[in-house]
Amino acid sequence: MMKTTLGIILFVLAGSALAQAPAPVGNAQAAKSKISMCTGCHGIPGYKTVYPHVYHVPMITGQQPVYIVNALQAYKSGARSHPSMRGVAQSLSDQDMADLAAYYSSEPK
Amino acid sequence: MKTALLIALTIFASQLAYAGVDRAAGASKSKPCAVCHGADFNTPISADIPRLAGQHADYLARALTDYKSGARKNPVMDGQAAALSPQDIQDIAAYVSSLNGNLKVIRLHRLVH
Repeated sequence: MMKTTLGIILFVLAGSALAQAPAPVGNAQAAKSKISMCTGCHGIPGYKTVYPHVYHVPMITGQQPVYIVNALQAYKSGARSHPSMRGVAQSLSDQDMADLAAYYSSEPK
Repeated sequence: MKTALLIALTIFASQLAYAGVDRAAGASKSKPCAVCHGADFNTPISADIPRLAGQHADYLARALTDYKSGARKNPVMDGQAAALSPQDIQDIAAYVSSLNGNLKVIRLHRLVH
């Protein structure tokens, strides 16, 4: 009985600890398998998006890491709208976003 | 007849001048932006604020236009962009995009090969 109670308490504690897990730490190396969906637009000098407006896609290499994560989260939630960026961001986990931010904010090799 | 043509041309030319982008004016209009984005627009005061130096002018103009219309939202930028005219936005975008900074494009072929 005592053991069961202790077990339940530990289980609940572990659950709440997981729920409050800190933001994942980005790994630039891990991003290398995830950047293919970015480079198709952001890796082409002079590339323009055409819908819903025509303009050059922003340069993201050298950008600030927290800004990159915030932008991706905003696209994912729909707070920031761009059809193709929403599609891309919806496929990304928090860890993916952290890895991509680490990659693009550093000096990619 | 010649006079009429001359007048028409003068009006046309003045409209072109009016519609032109003024990078020098953008330098002074962008002073409030530099408070957060950095005097060189490459050293923002925190990591959640983007570098802008050298960014594409049409992208910068799109961002400011979207903040102004409410299509894009940010607690600080909403208020900043609301005060800007379309001419201000073009001028600021032209100036900021002319600066040198860390932003660049890593070419696709470098990743493929």
